[in-house]
Amino acid sequence: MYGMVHRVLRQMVIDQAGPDAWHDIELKAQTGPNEMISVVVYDDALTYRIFGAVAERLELSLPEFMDKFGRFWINYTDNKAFRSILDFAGTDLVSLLRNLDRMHATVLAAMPEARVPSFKVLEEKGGKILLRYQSQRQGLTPFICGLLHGLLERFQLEGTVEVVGGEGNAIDFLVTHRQRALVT
Amino acid sequence: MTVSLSSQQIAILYPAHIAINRQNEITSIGPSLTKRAPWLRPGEKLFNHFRPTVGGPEDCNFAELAENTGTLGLAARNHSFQLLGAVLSKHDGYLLALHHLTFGDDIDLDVTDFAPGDPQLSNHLLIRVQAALIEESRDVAAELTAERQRVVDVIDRVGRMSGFLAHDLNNFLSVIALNAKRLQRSELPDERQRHRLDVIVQTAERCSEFTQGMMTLANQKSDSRLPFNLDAAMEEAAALFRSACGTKIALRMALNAKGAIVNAALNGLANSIVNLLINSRQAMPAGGTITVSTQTVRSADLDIPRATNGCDFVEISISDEGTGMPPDVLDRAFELFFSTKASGTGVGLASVRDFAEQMDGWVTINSQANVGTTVKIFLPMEEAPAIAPAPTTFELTSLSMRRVLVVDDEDYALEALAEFLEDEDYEVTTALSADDARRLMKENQFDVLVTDVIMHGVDGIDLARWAGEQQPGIPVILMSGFVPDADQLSSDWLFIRKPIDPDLLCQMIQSTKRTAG
Repeated sequence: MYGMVHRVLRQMVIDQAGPDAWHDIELKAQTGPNEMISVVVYDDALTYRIFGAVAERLELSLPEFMDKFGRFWINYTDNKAFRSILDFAGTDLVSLLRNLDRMHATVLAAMPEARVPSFKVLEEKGGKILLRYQSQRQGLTPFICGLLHGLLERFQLEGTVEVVGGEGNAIDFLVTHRQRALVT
Repeated sequence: MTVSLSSQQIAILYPAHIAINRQNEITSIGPSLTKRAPWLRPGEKLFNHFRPTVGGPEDCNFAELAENTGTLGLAARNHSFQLLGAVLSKHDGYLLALHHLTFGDDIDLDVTDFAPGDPQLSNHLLIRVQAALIEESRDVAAELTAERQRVVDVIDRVGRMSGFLAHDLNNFLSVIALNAKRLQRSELPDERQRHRLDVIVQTAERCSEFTQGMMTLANQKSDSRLPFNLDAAMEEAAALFRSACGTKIALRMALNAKGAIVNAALNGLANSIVNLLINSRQAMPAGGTITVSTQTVRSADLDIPRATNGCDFVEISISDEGTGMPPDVLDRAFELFFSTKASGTGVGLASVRDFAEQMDGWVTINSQANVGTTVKIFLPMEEAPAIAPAPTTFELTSLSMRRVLVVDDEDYALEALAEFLEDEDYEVTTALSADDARRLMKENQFDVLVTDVIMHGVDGIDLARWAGEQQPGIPVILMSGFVPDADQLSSDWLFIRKPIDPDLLCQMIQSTKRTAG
């Protein structure tokens, strides 16, 4: 995967457990600053090794960690230069999800070795979105759940995300959303 | 051909469209304009809000534009956006099939303002992606620079610590060697005891060679330019070079620059050679032979511009039988931070090049895949050393230099050296510090001052300077495992490396003459 994934992971660990924790993970996963270059593609095996080491260090199961990582990913990109991409891709949850494939197509032009997933809004009605996710990679379902939760948060919505079906490399998510109740 | 489109399809294909009747009154607008231009309302005259970007309203003959598929450009009168597109006829007027005309990312638009196939959409996204990647790259560059500096600092600290450890170890070895040599001089009747003593002396000497190498590598203090005999220095560092090669590699040394003197930083040269040996070792995972050779080269025989200053050169060559480098890698071999090794820093060869250039020399590299690599360092040759090197033979000019003041803050070393010199019939006075030595010199006259260089408090160099003022012309012999900085030394002083060769020290003392003070 692109080194950007590793950078976001590192920031998550440093934010949540401190720099020493990241140092432990570097030793365990046998990685270092040379594997933190955003636009360099690294072997997926290295990325999964880091995932495992981070989950262990944060004392989380792998699915729990992946869900947290997905949420953090949105938070990270929303606070960097990537924010303008998110803003451009959609000003509300539904339009953003509808436009993800177009956004990824452009990302491919800048990062031609990226293996980007596909998202399609199958249905959208009454605060419910049926979303189909397809990827060449396996095992990222909890990460997508985390991403969708992160997007709900980004648009100041509350709701739920659940896997409702799928076959082959396609997984269907049902996202329910509503305006977050104002706390006074 | 007639095409029928629903309002929804038109909204997707032309999010910024405007429909007008034949009186140029707006009848409907696309979703992008609904969002971006809420001041546009059906029933209003189009040209109240827009002006054509070419010509005036009278030039906007929509029927003709629709007939000829001409291009229509509109600029908002009181707002900073423009629209561009074509005119299509419909039964009650015209559909202005427009899209936003943008320049870079200067307009606050989002993806819904563009039709799916609009090339501007990709441009906008690409600009944003590239801006984000540039920001990321800046962060990465800053992080890598900080990390490299951290690594350099750690290496520097480890190097200095190694140097200090090696220095202290060298002092202890000096004590062992001196005492063992004193015992060697006594008449031991037992052959086995004599053999054991020989083993102690030889082992101490071999160990000392190693610590010398470590100090040469680690001690930054002595890394100044100093004239030295190249082949002698290479022989001295041979143990270090062997350790850098590891166990699978045979090191062959062919030193053919006999007597050649170079004015260079000894540590820098040793560092460079060790770097090259490590590279060679890594290129020969199955083992093999590395050849380190020296020779002198006449300037006239070199066909490069840098060799035109007329002086001759020494060539230090490190040649391996390793995997070699393909041409594209060879072209970048000296580039800082370029490395093909997974854990490589890309600093090694770049530092060798920098060292050679700082020493007014240069470095070349030749490599062939699956044959091997040869790196040659060229350094200018000196005519003669600037300060007196430790002599290997001495003319015995005087036997009258008998009163010797020996200064060393290591008491066992001081004791062993004093006893050795006393055995040689010198009148020896000892001092454990420079302050003690100063006190003694104020009260007594000495023929020779023999002092350690690195001591707690005042060091041997300051003491020697003070002694020269107190007793002008007194001969000085400095002892140290480190090679002192040349600019700190007086040309009258002699220098002997620790561990001390006692016979050489005696010869040096006998060779000294008090100069006119």
